[in-house]
Amino acid sequence: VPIASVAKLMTAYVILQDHPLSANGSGPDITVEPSEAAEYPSQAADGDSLVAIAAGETITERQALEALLLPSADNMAWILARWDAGSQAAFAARMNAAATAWP
Amino acid sequence: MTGTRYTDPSGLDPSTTSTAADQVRLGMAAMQVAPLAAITAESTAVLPVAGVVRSTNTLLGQDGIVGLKTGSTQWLTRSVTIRWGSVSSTSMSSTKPASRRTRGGWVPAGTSAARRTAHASRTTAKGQRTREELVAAARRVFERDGYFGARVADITAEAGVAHGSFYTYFASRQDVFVAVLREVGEQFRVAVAVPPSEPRRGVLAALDRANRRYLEAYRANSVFWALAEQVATMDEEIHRIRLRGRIEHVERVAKTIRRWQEHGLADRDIDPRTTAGALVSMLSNFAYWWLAGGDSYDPETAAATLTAIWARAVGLTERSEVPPAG
Repeated sequence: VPIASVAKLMTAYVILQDHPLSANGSGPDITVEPSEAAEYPSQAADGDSLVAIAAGETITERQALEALLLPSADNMAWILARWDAGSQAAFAARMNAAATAWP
Repeated sequence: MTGTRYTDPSGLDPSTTSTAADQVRLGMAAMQVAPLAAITAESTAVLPVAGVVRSTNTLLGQDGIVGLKTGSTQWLTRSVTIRWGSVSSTSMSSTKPASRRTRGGWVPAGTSAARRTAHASRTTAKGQRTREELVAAARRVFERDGYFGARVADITAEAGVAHGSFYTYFASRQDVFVAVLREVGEQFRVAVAVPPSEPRRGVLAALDRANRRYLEAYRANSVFWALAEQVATMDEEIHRIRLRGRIEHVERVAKTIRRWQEHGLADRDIDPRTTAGALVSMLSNFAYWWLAGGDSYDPETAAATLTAIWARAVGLTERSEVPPAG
């Protein structure tokens, strides 16, 4: 069945596997790319669940995960995926690899 | 996890599919990742551009659910939840699919008009009273049923207010717990601070008074304080608040020890901050076992002994007069 935003749990899991955080750590900075900020209006028009972002904004890994998991921001899922794996497809492959790594 | 296929990181793409069993497995693995368990238990966070974001995980703080993630589509609300150490996955038919626009399973924070109304009623005198009644009622319910046994409905019933008005003042059960915790924390802060009107006494007498006042505050709040200690092991925000309170107490004691050292009243070889931490731990842990944990001591002997141990630990002597401040 489609699982909607529950998928973000795996997104966060893969991010933390690749970039571990201590329990209270904030982790490395992630910079929001201009193209990502530019997509905001059209994503908002589609009714996506988003957090406000700005081109060149730096956000810590922990804050990005908070945006992903608290208000369930779709745009932060895409930013994290790009940051971690370079592309959405490459990141989805990492998610599937993590899923199949378990028995 | 053989029944799972991810096609995008947001879950927005309906071709991202899984099974309940797989999600429970993922939930269990996720719970082992400390920052992930911590973040999913938070109710709010502050981001650089977006500002305060709120978890509208409507399950959080209810029926023992302390974390993880919900998601919804037009037809379904799904969740993977942690409940006091166990993980479950559920799917429920949404009764009003059209009203659930956000796919995160998060209810929108409300229209700006509704928020303004809520803000207005929070700030009136009557609103202030209602809030105080809710905090007092929450404390009774927490002390009676524990943190995970307390439900928002029990708190509103205890306060005699309508269920919905709870959310005018508090976002969640955690939120109202924090409000009670701050009130109790303030009592401890007042207890260990020597009021400026206090007539000057010997150093030992002042120390003895502060310790006795701490023990009195502990006795008056022992049930809630012990509960907060337990909840802090599961809830990072409550842990942070308690840690701040402890550090404040330790710093206050360290400052006093430094002042004694400067005036030649205390051993100059001890590190003030470390000694303060050790002494505060002794005091609070003694108080916990004595006043909340079932151990038994004579009150007078207990207070006098604690003061004597503090004095010996820092090498304080009886002759000392408190030198004028500044």
